[in-house]
Amino acid sequence: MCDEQEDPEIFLNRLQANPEGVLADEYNRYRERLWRIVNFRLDTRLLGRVDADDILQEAYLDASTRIGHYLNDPATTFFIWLRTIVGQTLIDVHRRHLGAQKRDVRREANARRRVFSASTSFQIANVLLGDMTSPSQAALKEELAIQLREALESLNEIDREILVLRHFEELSNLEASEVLEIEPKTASMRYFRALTRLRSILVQIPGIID
Amino acid sequence: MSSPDSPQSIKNLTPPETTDLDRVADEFIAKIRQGEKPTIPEYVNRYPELASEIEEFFPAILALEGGKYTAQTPGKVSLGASAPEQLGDFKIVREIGRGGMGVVYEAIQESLNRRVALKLLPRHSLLDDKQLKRFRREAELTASLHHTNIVPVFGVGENGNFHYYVMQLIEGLGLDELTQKLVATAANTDLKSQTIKPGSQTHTSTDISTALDETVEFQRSEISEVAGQSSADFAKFVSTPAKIAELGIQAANALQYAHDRGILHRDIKPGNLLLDREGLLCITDFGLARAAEQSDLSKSTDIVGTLGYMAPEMFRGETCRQSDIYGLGITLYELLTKQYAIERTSRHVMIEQITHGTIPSLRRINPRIPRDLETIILKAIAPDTKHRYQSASELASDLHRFLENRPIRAKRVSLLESLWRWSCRNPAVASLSGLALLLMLALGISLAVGFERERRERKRAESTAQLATNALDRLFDRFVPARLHTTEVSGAGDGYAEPILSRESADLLAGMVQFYEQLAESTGEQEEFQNKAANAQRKVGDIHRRLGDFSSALASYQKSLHLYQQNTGEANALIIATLYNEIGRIYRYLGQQNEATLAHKRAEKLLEATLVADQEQNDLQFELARTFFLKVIQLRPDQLGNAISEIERPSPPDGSMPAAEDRIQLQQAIDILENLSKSDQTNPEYRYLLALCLQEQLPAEYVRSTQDQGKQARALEILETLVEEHPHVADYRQAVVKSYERIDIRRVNPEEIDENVIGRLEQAIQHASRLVSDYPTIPEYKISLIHAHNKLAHGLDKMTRLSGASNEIRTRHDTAELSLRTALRLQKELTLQFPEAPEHRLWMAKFEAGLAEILYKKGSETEAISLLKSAINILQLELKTDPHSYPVYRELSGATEGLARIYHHVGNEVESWIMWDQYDQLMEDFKQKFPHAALPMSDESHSSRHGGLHPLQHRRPHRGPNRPGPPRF
Repeated sequence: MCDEQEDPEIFLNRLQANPEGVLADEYNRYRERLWRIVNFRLDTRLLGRVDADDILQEAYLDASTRIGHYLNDPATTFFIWLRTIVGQTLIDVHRRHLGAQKRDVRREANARRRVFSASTSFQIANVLLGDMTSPSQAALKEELAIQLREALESLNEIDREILVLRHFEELSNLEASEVLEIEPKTASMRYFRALTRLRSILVQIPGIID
Repeated sequence: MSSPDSPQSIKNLTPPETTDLDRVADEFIAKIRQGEKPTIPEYVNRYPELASEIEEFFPAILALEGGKYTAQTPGKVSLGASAPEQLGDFKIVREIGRGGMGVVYEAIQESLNRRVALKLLPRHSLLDDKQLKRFRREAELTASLHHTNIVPVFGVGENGNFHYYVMQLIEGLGLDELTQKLVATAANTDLKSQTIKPGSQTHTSTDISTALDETVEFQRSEISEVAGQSSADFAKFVSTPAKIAELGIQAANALQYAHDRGILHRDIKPGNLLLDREGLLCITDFGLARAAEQSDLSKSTDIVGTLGYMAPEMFRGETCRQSDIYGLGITLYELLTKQYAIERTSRHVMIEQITHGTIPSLRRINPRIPRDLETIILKAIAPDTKHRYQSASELASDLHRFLENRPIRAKRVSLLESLWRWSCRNPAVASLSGLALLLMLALGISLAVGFERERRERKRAESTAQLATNALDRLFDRFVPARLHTTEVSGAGDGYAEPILSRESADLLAGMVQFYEQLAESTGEQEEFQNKAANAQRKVGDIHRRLGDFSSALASYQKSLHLYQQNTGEANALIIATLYNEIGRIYRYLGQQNEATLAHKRAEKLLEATLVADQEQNDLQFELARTFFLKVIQLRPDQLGNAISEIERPSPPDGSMPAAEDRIQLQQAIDILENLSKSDQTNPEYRYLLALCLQEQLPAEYVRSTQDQGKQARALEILETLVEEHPHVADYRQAVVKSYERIDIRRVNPEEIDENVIGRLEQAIQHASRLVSDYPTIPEYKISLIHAHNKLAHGLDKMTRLSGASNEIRTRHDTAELSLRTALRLQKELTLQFPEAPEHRLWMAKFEAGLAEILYKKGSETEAISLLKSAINILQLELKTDPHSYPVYRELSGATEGLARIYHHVGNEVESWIMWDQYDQLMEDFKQKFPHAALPMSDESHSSRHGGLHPLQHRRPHRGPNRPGPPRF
C-alpha cells in the first residue's frame, strides 16, 4: 500500500550489492504484514505447537538461502516473493506437524498458487464470529460457526482466496493480482463479486450483518 | 477502454469497471484499520454516485474487517494477536512495550490494589515442562534480589495458557528509547526527508500512507503522555559523559549484587535498563533470557537489537559475569558515542563484527569523550573475557575514579598488545589497514627505543621485537596458510580455513614484509629475519597468484628467491625448487612458455641432485612429481589468456595429448605419487596431485575409451573424497569442478552429449557456485563457474539440434539461457575487476553473442539484437586497441553476421544490409592481416531455424559465397 515507491531496478541493484543486509531490512519492514499472514493462515490445530514468530524465523532463514533465486528471476515484487517463501514454510510446518493426512492431489496441484492452509473457511468463520464472546452467545456461536463454514465452503476457491488476500493478509489489489497471477482489473472484479457472494451468505446468518 | 458510456450505465455494471470504487473501498478499509469507525451511510452521502455499490459491497467489508480486531479466536497462538483482559488477580490496563521476551502490560493487582508491570511470556518459548520449571526457578531466584537498582519481582503466575511475571511498575522509560533517539538524531536528518518523498506516486497510496504515519505517531505520543513521560525529559540524564558514567555505576552495582548471589542477567542491553524520573536506573528481566531458553537468540529475526549487545563468547554458548559487563559496556558506549557499537546490518555480518571484535574506539567517533572513560569502556567491551573487568564492582570503582578525576585502574592497551590480541583473534581483512598502521607505529616506537636507550632498554626492545615478530608470523600464517607444502601436513587439518583475500590485503602484507627486514637490522639476527622476510615475500606472491595478479606474483616470488639465495650458502633445496616451480607456473599463466619450462627444469635439476644423496625424502619426491606435472599441464580453455593464445597453439593432431617426453614424465610423476600416497595415506596432497596427474593423461575434449573412463572415475573419486574430508580446502573443490567440467563441447559430437555429460556439468556448477560464494575475490573460481555455465548452455543447445519434443527443446533453451545469463553477469564482474585484461572483455562479448543466439531461437529477437549490438561495440573497441587480434576478428565477424541475419529475419532489410557490408569489410581486412589463416568456419551443423532462414545467400551470393554459420560458440 504505502511501500512500493522504490524503482524495481534500483532495488534489485541494492539487493544484488548486499543481499543479506537488504533482506534483513526488507524482512523487518514487512514483518508485521507477514506476521499477520502467518497468524491468519496457521491451522488452529497447531495451537500451542508453533508460533507465528517461529515460522517467520524459519522463513527468514529460508529466504536468505534462496535469495539467489530471486535475483536470477525477480518475477514478482520482493514482498510477494517473501510471502511465497513464508507460505512454503507454512506448508512445510503444517506437513511436519499434521502429517500427510492433509495432502491430497488437488491441493498439491494448487499448491504453487494458493499455497496455504486448508482451513481458510474455518479461519474466516472465526473472524466473522469473533465478537460474539459472551457465554450465552457461546453455544450459539458454535452452531453459527458450523453454518457459516459450510456457507463459506460454497464460495468458489478464488472468491474465498481473494477475500483472504484483501482482508486478512491485507494485500492491495495490485499485490493480490500478483499472487493470483491475474490482471489487476480482473482481480478487482473478482473481489467485488466475492464481496457480493459473501454478503448473500452473511445475511442468512443472524448477527453478522444487520 | 474508452467507452462513451455515461456514468449511469457504468454504475449498472456489477462489478463495475471504474476504479473509483476501488479507491473509495480502499479508503474505507484503511479507515477501519486505523481504528476509526466509518459507517456505510456516511459513505453513501459522500459518494452519492456510488451509493448502490457502497450499499452492495461495504457491509461485507465491514463484517470482514470489523471482526478482525475484536476476535479472540482460539487460533491465535501468538500474543501479538490478542491480549487477555484479566489474568487471575491482575487486570490488564494497557500495553507498555514488547520485545523478544514477551509483552509488558501495566496491570492492577486487584487484591492489593496496586499497579504493577506484568510481563506476559510468549507461549512458544515456554512450552516444554523443563523450560517451564526453569522459568519458575529463575523467577524465584530473581525475586530474591533486593537492590535499589534492580526492578523488584513480585512473583510468577500462570493463568490459562499464559505465563507471566509480575514486577514493580517503573514510571520511566527504557534506555533503548534514549539510545534510539540519540542515534537517530545523530544520524543525518536528510535521510528522513528523503524517505518521505517517494510516497507521492499515486494518490491513494500517499493519502493512506501519510494518514497511517500520522496515526502511528499520534498513538505513540499518546502512550507516552498517558504515563506522563517523554524521552526529552530523560535526555538530561545522559547529557554529559559524567552523567552516563553515573548510570554505569548504578548498573554495575546492581550487577555486582546479583553476581554475588550467583545470578547472571544474560541479556544486558538498553531495553532492560529502566530509568525513572529521578534518574534512578533499574535493571529488569534478570535471568529471563536463560529461563526462556533463548540461548539460540542469534537465530531469531527480530533480535537484531539484542544481538548488538551480545558478548562474543555467547556465540560459543558461554555466558559469564563478563558477558553482563560487556552488555553494559556496549550500552554505555552507545550512550556516549550516540552510535551503535555494532552496526545494525544483517545477523550474519553483525555476528562476524562482534566475534572479530571490530568496534571502533570511542574517541575516534567523538574526540571529546574523556580519554579515561574511553579506556574504561574499551576494557569493559574487550573481545576476550580475560581482558575485561573481572567483576562489575571493578568497573564501578573505575567509573568512580573517573568521576573523581583520580587515575583509573584500567590500562590503555598498548598498540603492540592490541595488535597481538588482534592477530590472535582473526584475520578480519577489514581491519588489516588499521593493523598495518599500528604495526608501523609500534615498530617505529620500539625500534627507536631500542636505539636510543641502548643498554637500559635493550631487553625491553628485544621483547617488543619478539612480540612484533610473533604477530607478523601469525598474520602471514593466517592469511596464507601453508597447505601446499608437505612439510606442514597439519595445515590441512580441521583448523584449516581458507583466508579471505583481497588485493588490498596483498598490498598491505607486501608492505609489512619490510618490517622483517627492519627487525633483522635492529636485532642483528640477520639470518633469521631474512629467512622470515623471504618466506613472507613468497606468501605475498601466493596471494597475488590467487587473485590473478600474475605480474605482481612473479615479482614477489623472484624477490623471495633472491632473499633465500642471498642469505644461505646451503639454501634449502626444497624451498628453492618450490619457488622455481611457482615462478614457472606464473610464467605459464603469463603465456611465456619458454621461461616456464626453464624454471621447471631448474627445479627438476635441483631436486634430482638432492635426491641422489637421499632417496627417502618424501617432500623432495613430491615436489619432483609436482615439477613434472607443472611441466606437462596444458592450459585449459578456461584459463586466463587462452582466448588469445588459441591461434598460436593449434590443437595437436592427436587430440590434446601431451608430447612423448611429457607423457613419460607424467607417468613418472604418477608412479612417485602412487608410492607416496601408499606410504603416507594421511597426506591429502599426495592424493590430490595424483588425481590431477591422472586427469592429465586423459584427452581434454571427451573421454571415450573404457580405460580412460576408469581413470577418470578414479581421479574423480579421489577428489570427491578429498572434498568430503576437507570441505574447506578450496583447491580440492576447485579440482573437482575442473574434473567435472572437463569436456570440450565444441569438439564433441551432438550425439555424445547425454544426460551424463549434462549432469557432470551441473555438478561442476554446484561446486563452483559454492567456491564463488565463499571466495568472491578469487577470479579463478569465478572463471570456472562461468565456463561450466557456458559449457552447459552449449551442451544443451547442441542437444536441441538433434531432435527432441518441442517442449524439451524449450526447457533446454530456457536452462541454457539462464546459464548464459549467469555467465554473462559473472563475466561482467570480471571485466570490471580486471579492466587491464582484454580477454575478459572478449569473453563477455562472446557470451553476449551466445545468449543472443539462444534468445533468437526462443523468439526474443529484440533482446538478441541489443545483445549483439553490445557485443559488436565491445569488439570494435578491442580491435582499435589491438588491430591484429585474431580472436577479436573471429568474434566480431561472427557477431556481425549473426546480427545481419536477425535483422533480416525480423524484416529490417536496411540494417541487415549494413551489417552484411560491415561483415564483408571485416573479411577483407582479415585476409590482409592474416593472409595464411582462414577464419574458422563453424564446425557445427546449423540449427534448423538458422538453416531455414537463409535466403540471404541467394540474394548476395557474389559477395558472400561462403557465409559461415550462426554466431559461433
